[in-house]
Amino acid sequence: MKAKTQDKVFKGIMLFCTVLVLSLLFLILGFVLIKGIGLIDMHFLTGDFDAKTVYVDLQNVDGLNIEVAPIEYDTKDYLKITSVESGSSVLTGISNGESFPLKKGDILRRIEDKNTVGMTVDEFNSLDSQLSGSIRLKVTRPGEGIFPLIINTLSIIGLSLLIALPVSLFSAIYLAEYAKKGKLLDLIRFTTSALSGIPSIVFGLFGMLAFVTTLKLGFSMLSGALTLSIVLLPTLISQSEEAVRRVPLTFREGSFALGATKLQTIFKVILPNALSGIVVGVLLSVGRIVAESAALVLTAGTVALIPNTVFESASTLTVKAYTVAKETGDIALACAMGIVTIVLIIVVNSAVGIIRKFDKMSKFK
Amino acid sequence: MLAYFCNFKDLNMRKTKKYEPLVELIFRISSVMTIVAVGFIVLFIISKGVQPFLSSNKEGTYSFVKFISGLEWRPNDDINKAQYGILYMIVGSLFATGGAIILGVPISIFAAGYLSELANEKVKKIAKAGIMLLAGIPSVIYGVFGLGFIVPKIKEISPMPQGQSLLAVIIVLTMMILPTMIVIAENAIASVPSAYRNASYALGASKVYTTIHVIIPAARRGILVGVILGVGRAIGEAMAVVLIAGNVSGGIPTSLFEPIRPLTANVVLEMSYATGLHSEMLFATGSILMLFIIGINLVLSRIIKRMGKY
Repeated sequence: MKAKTQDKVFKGIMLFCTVLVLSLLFLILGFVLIKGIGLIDMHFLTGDFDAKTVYVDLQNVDGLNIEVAPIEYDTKDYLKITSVESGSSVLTGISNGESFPLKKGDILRRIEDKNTVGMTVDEFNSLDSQLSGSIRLKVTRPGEGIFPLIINTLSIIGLSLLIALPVSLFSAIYLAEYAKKGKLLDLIRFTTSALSGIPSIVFGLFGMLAFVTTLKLGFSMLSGALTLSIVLLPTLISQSEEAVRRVPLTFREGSFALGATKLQTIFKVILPNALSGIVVGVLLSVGRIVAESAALVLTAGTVALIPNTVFESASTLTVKAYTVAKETGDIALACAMGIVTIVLIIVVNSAVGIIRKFDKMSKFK
Repeated sequence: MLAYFCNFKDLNMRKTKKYEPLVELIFRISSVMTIVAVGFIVLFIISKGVQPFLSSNKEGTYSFVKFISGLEWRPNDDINKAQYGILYMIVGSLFATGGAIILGVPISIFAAGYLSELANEKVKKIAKAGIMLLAGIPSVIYGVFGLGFIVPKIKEISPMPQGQSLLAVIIVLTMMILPTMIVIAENAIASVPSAYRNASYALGASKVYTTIHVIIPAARRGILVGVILGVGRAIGEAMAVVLIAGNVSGGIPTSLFEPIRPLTANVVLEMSYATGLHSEMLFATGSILMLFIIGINLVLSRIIKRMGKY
């Protein structure tokens, strides 16, 4: 009887702990979703992060052919464009010599010499009917869109993998196919596991010292990618090595029997058959970079623009979510960015699950 | 005839011989990249981190004793006014990590035990996907969650004017280290030989009793590996804790509601604009952090080596 109650108590505790862990997951997901979902729309996904205020010159105006609505911006009431008719002269806008077509969401700050602060829609319409010829508008295109951040995240993923993947693959091949037991192999194993235990912030410090200042690359996409390529080494190496080891010995023997050399066997037999395991390593790396912030904030910087070259600063989504939370305390915006990163991570995790499920090598286990 | 085959084989060999050793050399060089990386990381950070304590340093010299035992961090361009003490940060980091381990270890062991031994396949699959996701959530998001949810909740019950505190850091770190510890504990539990279970059942023990008294103790080394990895993650976590720790400029915390300034937060907060001696002191902070990590790794590799013997 006593044993039975003891069983019940322990089972209760174990169940409680499991439920607790899963409810923490739902709590954090729910919090991020509720706080951030309101901000997510097309402008959020496709717009620039930094607000931009410019003067736009229009030619051959005969009324603007736009609809507007009042909006509060920067604590003042302005007019926001809610729709643009096709053929409207605002689509031919020029700013600083470059084409700058106005679009839905842009805020009119000034029409010729008339300030739009406090202007009603009716006042705008009567003003609009008098506009003709060449006019100049002052327009603010609001920020808080994450498009450049997404592009930067993808570029840094590509660049880091470009550096880390070949090294990791060669290393994995050496470890699985050539290396002999010994002190050097022990050291490689130790440093690989040590590398996976080093906190991101230490990688950040190293990247800053080695790439940003010593190699004089500055806060740039390249510094960030070089730093991350080191961060990725342990995951990529161990995943690829495992994948190479799982290719059955008979495949190698068959290849050798056909007269292939060791290298031909590696590139034509082993690597193609280890591909799914290598892809899993790549996907895990993508997840790691999407989540990374400490190593990037000290190396790639926090500029929320798409850089022209890899030598310019480029903030990723997660880095910007940090600066937003830290500097402005805007939880909603940080959560909206969080939703996008979490969706990316769910996609990556599911892809890993699917690949593992259909991995043809698993039947040789 | 025989000569023909030999020649053919030779020809084939010669065709590949030219580049094969070269490619193998590339493989070999790639394989030592992790050694090179770890070597450079340790060398770069520590060599920069010891600069402020050398009398020959051109940015000025600061006493190592004052650095390691100081209770105040007040950077100043005037070296005589600057205070670079990190003892209170070390204590804060250790309190936060210790707290997270005390909370997290029992939860993760029980959850792993349940998932591995008692749960049915369906529950197990869903729970595992959930834990994978929990592990993949960026640390910044944990920080934002802490700042937007946990900090306001703590503020309601705290005697202090702000919610940023040791307690907030402990709660968020616990959440962050749970997935790692559960996954590793679960693997350790699953790899306990079934003979243990069968022997226990044969003696009349129930499934729950077996799990608690036989399986979990038998998996203790594997569980310990998970705990140590958890310690490493907790002490090295930067972006989540910097948002919720309060980051005070001095003082050892005496209660859970007091703010702290973990070592990692110190680096993140000031590294982007620090110059001269101040920047070097941040690298010194990073070096101390790295010494902790190196220590953790040495313990870890010793345990794993010993595990191999069984």
